[in-house]
Amino acid sequence: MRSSTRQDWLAAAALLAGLFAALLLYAALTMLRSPTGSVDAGDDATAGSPRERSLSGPGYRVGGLGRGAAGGVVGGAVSALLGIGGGPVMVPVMHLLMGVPLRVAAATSNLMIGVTASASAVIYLLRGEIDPYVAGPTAIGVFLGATAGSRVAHRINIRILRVLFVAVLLYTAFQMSRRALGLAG
Amino acid sequence: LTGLPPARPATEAPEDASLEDAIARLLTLGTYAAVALLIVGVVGLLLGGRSPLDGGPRLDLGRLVSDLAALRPDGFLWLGLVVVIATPPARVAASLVRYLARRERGMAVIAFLILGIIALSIVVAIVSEG
Repeated sequence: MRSSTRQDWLAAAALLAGLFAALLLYAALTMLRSPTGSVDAGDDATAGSPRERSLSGPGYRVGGLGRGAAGGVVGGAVSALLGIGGGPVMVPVMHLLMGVPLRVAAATSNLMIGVTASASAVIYLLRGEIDPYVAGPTAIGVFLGATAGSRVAHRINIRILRVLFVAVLLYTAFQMSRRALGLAG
Repeated sequence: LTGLPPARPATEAPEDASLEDAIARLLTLGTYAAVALLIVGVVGLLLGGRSPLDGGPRLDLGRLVSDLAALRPDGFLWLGLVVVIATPPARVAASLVRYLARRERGMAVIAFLILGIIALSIVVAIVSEG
């Protein structure tokens, strides 16, 4: 009975990884094809709800808050279940579905992912599933990388940033495909 | 493009700005303190001849205090990690205070909901483990 439950869980995890790989591949291809996102930063300042208008920034207009919220649920679930962080989901969701520029989407995702991850990290912490010896050095590396990345982000050409992000999406899709096929843990 | 509304009010009350500065400084200090604790912990681990791949202990609050008092690396690592995990919710709590001070009801509700979801996830984890 217990063995059957474990097999069911592994099959569900493989299916989830496969679906996520397909989603990442779709997001990567869409980002290559649609450099400005689906919400046009048009001249009509009166379009959208008052809340959406209040969230717009210089040169762009935010839309699709409902789609963004739904994407956030997917991003949070994927972050907690697969341990990859929600960035690969939330950046394409904000950029392609909500019309947020790539740099702003990356910065916003950075802020959000900390909150998303902390909710699931507390659960893992209470279950004793966080290894401090692995998490400590990794967190130092993340801090150094995030500090350097946020300082150079504004100096990098947006096309290079886009290609880098698509490369990360494709690599993550590749890793998820390996997990779905049982080739990786 | 012109004619788009600004993302935030163009003017800000001085007391709001000073509150924001204080919160930002506190959070930055918290992040640097967490990283400093982690560096001390990792260096102590390596000096003690242990590998990060050896597998560390679970978090035990009682032991955390004694580890810190005895300057053991495990204590520094766990305290640093707890600060790392606590920083994002602290940032949301700080935002909630800021929105309430500015009377931005909509954003205050969103910040409150986020804190509520984090609290709920903790309660669910405690109940399901207990």
